[in-house]
Amino acid sequence: MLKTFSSKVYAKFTSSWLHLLKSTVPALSEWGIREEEVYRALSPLIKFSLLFTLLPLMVLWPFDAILGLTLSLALFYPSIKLPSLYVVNKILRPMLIAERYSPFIINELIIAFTASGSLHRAVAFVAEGDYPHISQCFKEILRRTEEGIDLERLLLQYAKNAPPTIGEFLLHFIKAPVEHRFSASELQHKVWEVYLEDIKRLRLNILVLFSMGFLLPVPIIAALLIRGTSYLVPLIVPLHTLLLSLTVKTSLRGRVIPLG
Amino acid sequence: MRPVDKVALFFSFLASVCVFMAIYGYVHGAAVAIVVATTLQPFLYLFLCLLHRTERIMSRAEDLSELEFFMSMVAAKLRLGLSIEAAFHEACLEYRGRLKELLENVDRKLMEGLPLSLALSGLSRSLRSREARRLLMLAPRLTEYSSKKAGVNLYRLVTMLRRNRKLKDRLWKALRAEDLKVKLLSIIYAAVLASLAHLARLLGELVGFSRPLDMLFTFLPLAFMSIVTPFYATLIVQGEKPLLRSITSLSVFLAFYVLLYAIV
Repeated sequence: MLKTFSSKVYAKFTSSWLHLLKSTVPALSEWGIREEEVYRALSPLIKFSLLFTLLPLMVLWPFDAILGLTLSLALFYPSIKLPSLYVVNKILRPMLIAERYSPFIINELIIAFTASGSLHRAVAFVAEGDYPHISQCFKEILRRTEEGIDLERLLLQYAKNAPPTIGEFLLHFIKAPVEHRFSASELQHKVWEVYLEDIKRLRLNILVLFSMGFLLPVPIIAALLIRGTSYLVPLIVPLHTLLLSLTVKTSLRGRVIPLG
Repeated sequence: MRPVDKVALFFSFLASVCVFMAIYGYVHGAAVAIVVATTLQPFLYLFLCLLHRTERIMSRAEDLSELEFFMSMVAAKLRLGLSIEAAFHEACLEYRGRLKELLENVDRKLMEGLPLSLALSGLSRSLRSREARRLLMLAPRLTEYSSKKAGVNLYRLVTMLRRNRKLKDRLWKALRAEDLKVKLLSIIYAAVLASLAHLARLLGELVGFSRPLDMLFTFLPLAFMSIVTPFYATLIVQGEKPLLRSITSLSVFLAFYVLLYAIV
């Protein structure tokens, strides 16, 4: 009886906490992301979020309850904001990248359709292109067409949840593949813009890495030597290695190179 | 099973040696230092493996540019009204590039009456570039059009590839410019680290800590740094042979240290 009651209370508490977490996530419906998806991504994080908030209170309660309470209150906001940021990054980031590279994708869809005269081939062509989010979705669509579902219907369904530019393009493209409103020069111009922006971003990343890699360790090592704590110098190597590899990984992530 | 990431293994080993030195320097207990360093190494290796799993954002798809050149020749022949087989054969005769042998094989199969899709599948398997294989996905459908229309469509495809190649060249040049900076910085960096190692030795002598082991504990991490940083800097600018850069940087470090040692 007591067990059932406590499990009910726990379920109610975690459900309220989940709603609280969800309320901090900005509305993603315009990106075609449904509320259920957000809830699904948030639910594994409830325990982490709760633990992060309540741990100081539980640990410090016997020693200094006020300090524990203060720390828990201080951690309350980060513990609900961090999961929401994580979820936004996890769900929205691939969509944002896909949206950014939409001129590349649209260009390839048009060219592949023109060359092959087949919507299926055009979709397969983009699916093989390793575009973030889109290629995976197109592969799934192609898989479902093998089960006998109509490709156009699946594409129309997908267009509703696709990144805005691609979704809008798909709606027109499926109805009249030859009469789409994107001219080759306009698309090429957009592709150029994306590319130039990529070059700028890459240069900035390189600048950050140069300063981190080449400049930062020198004064730190000098300071450690002068302070007489030279035994700490070796610790810089693993930290520096991890930091650099992390920077390289994050700065090269999610880039798209067009076919050519 | 994934192959061993030799760089991750090497760097994790260097990092573990450094962890050993730091702990040994602080607590003067070799056993504790060995246990911690050896425990940490697999974790460091796994973590680095995970982070090293980055694809090159630029790769010179030579197969693709060769194929693009050949396709433009086929497109020109098709626009003249030749059949796909004849256009392919004529283009093959004129083509002098790296893919000649592979394309002649396709031509032979076409002459034997094999459909284009089947003839191209062998070529697709032989090409290294994934992009080139992707391009070949579209070619078989061209046979369904009239020669002239197929020629126009193929020409459009080739034009898109050329435009994209111009974009890629621009990015490639930007990266090459940064790569030059990395080369220069790697040498300066190694020299600065060697100076620091030498300064540490002088400071040690000044305050009376000039045991060889103390010297080694600052010299080795600085030497390791001269290996690690140029490697990642080369990776981010998509430079060639990052490990070679690391070795060059280490050589500069050692040479500069010896030079300073001889002078001061």
